[in-house]
Amino acid sequence: MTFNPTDILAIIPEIGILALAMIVILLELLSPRQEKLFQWVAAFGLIAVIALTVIFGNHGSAFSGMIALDGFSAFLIILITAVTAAVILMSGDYLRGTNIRHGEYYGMLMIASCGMMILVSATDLVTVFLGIETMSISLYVLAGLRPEKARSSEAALKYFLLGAFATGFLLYGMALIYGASGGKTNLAEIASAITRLDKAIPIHLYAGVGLISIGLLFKVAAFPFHFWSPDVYQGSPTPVTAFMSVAPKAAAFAAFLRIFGGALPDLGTVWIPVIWVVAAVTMTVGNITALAQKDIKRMLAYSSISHAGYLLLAVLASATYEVNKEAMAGMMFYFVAYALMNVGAFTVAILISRSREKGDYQIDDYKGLAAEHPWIAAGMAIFLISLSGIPPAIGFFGKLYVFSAAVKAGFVGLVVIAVLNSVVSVYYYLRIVVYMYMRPKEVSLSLKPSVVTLALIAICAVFILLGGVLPGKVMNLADQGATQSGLEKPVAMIR
Amino acid sequence: MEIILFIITALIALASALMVITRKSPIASVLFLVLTFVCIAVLYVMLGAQFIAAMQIIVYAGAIMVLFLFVLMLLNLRGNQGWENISPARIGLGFAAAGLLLLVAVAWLKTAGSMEVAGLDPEMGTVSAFGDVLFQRFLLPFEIASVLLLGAIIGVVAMIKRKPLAELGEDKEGKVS
Repeated sequence: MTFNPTDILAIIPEIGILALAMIVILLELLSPRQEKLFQWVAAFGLIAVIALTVIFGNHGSAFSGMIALDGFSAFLIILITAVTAAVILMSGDYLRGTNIRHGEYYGMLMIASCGMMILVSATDLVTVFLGIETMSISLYVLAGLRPEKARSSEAALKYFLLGAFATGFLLYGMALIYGASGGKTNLAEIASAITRLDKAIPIHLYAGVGLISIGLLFKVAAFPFHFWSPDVYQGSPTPVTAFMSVAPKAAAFAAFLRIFGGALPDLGTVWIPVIWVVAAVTMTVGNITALAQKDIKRMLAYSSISHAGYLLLAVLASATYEVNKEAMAGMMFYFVAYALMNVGAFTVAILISRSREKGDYQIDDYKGLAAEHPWIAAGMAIFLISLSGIPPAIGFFGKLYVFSAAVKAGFVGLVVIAVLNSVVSVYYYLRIVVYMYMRPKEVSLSLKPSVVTLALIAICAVFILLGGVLPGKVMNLADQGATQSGLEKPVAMIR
Repeated sequence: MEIILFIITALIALASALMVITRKSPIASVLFLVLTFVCIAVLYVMLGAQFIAAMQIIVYAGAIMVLFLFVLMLLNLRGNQGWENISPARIGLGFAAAGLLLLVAVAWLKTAGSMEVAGLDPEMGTVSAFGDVLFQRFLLPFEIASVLLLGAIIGVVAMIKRKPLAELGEDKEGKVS
């Protein structure tokens, strides 16, 4: 119960990124014009945070069970930090066309990542809640950083009001679970308290599970709580959209998996049918709506909704003891793939839109890109092929691992729906590839890509292909993480 | 005796919460919100949570509500934008949905088993017990809350204070909405 000084080692990544955020904000105060400097300090600092996470990565549980820096959380912390670094690097060019203050923007990104780090390593409802709030409040601000654009203000206000409402559901659900489990907030203690209740499940425990799932489904933008995400993705500054589509989603899914797979597997018979339907509808709605989009940011928003549907398969599978670790590892792998392809696709989208007069994001702008800029078109084609899940790219293996875990847990019907959905998604991803390679160009784009942008596109493309050729390397790391953090004992399903 | 006090306070809290969302004048809404907070503070005292009750009065009913009142008076809102914009059909549908939910909830509660909640230590609400828990078991969440507040403060400054557009030079695409 009392404070143990070595516990601090378990929050080294959080301390590191927070210190870095303060350094960058203070640097802006001291020399406001050195914008390139902030960017590089932030990027190299984040690499140092990754190194610290690797060194202290298997500390285990700390602060009387509030937080655990284990294989699962270390893997996701490294992923989130890398995504933050990539977003900071892609932001430089974008920010120069706006009146956003660079230092504060980078600082807010890093505070949001600090919240996500807390969320992925949280093993207690209290830390889950605080992590979600630290992440969300920073994201509300980041969405609204361009108030001179009506869409940006709209995005921030919508996200804030709906997000605050969803937080209310989440918190009420947590309070009910706390009451029903005999005053427990620790996830493992809740799991054993529910096992001890045996078949006498009090009604407010069901209500708590329902409310908590509403809050979490909102955060991962799953049907029917996904309506905010296209508007918010479209209105936010584009690098922020790239960030939002990957990092918070990974963090919220980690919490989803830890709560539903770790604390509530005993109640699986209650929540599995609900999440089953939600997953099926989420992927279908996301894919069907994406077909009709003309704006690439909205298209990627709907595509990310459908990916949330696929990832819910991993949450479902994680409640079965035999495949719990496999589902965790599959989700971790999926997020590596998803981060690479989304960061790459958004980097290209920012580059293309900056050459346009109004800075908009029409899909028509991609017509004939290959003739003028063959390398950028090739990179974009790799990202889109990977997003649609066609074999040589890493996206295929992400889907393969998640789907195979789900089949082993017995969700064959849902996997069939997911595979059919992947086929539908090929249409809208490959439409852009067709535009780039087979349509004549309408307007000359005259792109002026900076070295950093080109490097980011190249790194993402190379890793997507490498991961597609050697998926075993990444999967081994994910397996190690999952083995450390998965369920330790089989659970007995109730009813 | 205690149950009577509870029923009276709970009813006042519910009634004033209803008034908060039905009053047309924002000032009246805020004043009813203060009343709700005071009633909730009374409920906290009855649960033995003196410290939380004191915080409720000092922070919520006191500081935050006074701030709300100041902002409302500065904005000089007119209380005439209300129900007129909502069609009767939507109000009817809303009540129908609420009624259905009530029916389902009642049916469900009738079949439900026990509703036992966690037993509480009577000493739990005192300041010293509260401090013990806050700075030992909940030390880390307490510190994370400070990160949350820091993020909110920096966020507010980042949203309000920005470089003037004139500094941007020729690149003024930000002005296009």
